[in-house]
Amino acid sequence: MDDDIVIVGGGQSKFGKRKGLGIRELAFEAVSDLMNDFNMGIEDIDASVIGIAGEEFSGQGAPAAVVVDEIGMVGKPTIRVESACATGSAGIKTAYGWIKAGFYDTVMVVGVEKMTSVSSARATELMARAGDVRWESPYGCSFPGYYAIMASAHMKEYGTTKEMLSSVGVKAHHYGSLNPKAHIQKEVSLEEAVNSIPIAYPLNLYDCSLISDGAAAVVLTKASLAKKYTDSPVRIKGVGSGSDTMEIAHRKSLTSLSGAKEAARRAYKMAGVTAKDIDVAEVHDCFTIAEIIATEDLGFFEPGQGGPAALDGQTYIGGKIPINVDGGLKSKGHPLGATGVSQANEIRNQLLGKSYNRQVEGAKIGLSHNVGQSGQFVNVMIYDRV
Amino acid sequence: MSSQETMKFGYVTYEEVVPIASEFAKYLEEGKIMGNRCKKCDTKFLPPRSGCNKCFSTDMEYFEVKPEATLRGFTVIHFAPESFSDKAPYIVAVGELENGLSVLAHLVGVTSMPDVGMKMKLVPQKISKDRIVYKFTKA
Ligand SMILES: [Zn+2]
Repeated sequence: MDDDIVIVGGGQSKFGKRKGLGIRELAFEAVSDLMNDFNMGIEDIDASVIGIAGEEFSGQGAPAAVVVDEIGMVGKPTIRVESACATGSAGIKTAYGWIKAGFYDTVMVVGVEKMTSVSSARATELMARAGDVRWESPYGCSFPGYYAIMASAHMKEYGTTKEMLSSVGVKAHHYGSLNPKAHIQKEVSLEEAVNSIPIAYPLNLYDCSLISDGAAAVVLTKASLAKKYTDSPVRIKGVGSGSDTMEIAHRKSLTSLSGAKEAARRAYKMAGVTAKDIDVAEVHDCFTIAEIIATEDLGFFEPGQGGPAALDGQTYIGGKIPINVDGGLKSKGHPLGATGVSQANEIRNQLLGKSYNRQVEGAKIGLSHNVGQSGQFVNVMIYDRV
Repeated sequence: MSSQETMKFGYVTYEEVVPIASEFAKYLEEGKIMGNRCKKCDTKFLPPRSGCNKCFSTDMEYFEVKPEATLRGFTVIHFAPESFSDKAPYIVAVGELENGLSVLAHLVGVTSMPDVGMKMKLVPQKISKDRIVYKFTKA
């Protein structure tokens, strides 16, 4: 029998401005959290995949090795993966492939980033260099700037409003306020969000994800081995990926991410489900427009309907499709390498009914959508209970 | 051409200036926006590339791109990357030229919020002795 791949453990550090903690301490905190409900020890894991987007933030060159050492995985096979903001899901996909290939039975994925030891202007500079440094970064387009360009096109084409954008941030802060591991636990009103300071028009402060420190970890194994590790495995039922042009100017569309549509198509096909079957989703809301576009690219709403649906509350628990009910990148935070792993961990918790006061009751099938840069890397994954 | 004379593209240089980029900048200095095309399969590139990503031929030839452009999307950068902090706010725009070619550049000379779909012109502008860019202006 071809074995399914399952998640048998998950953990996350608190996200935030974690002064006094480096990448190793952050990773340690996430793995400790994972060990709380894990039936085996670190010695029962065969290999590790470490996701870290950039060494300039933490100052450590070849940063995966310090993480491996700190979490007690020395001597076992390891790799560092990087796909910008999609690093975490790239790590999970790598581990998935390793197990499927028969290299190892059980693999830990740790995603981590320490971002707040540099100034916000410096962090903005480092992230802007993930644009094309030959032709686009030399114009000082910040990372929010690329998504702001998409937002302006979306507003023109579909009549999406700043209020619609802001409503995504309001929801993020609502659920972040309920998540003790979120970077910010604070409700924000629509009025406050709409009138917050501009970052890159039309995106305001409350349209932009946070610069955060944090780590997350999951353990993957074969379904046939799962009960050694946990009573409640969650299956990775579908995986799909896509990519896009380096220069944003070269995209055929500025109102959709073609790589995300392709990733979704592949993931749905592999899982044998459609958008209608998804009960809860984690999407890459690095900016509010990114969430609106994601809900369209993933097929939850028709193109152009993502904005009105957000404003109408359709992405809250009880709405058509609950999205980012952990606070998302906007309020939970966005430590680049950790984000994709944290998404998988959140979906696992939702499917296991462990999300407390923000539980989507009866959630059976979950989806995560993790985007690197402005769409150059996309991984979509679909999960269910075995 | 000596290294002092090498014309650079953009306000900031993050990588080694390769010939395809300095040639492009040199053409800008002459007032020309030059793309290039693959002589084997006719794929067109703007900005130019040193080889064709369809057929891997490196037999390329330059062609001049007309400056007429249409605004596809824009942003006003208020919180800038560190090396642009003193320039904010500034408008970064994506504009479509002929043949579906499209580039990102600053949009200058507008007094009100730009309207996506508006007509623009892409013009070279020297910004210092050894630096040049192209910018969009209102048509
Ligand atoms: Zn060719």
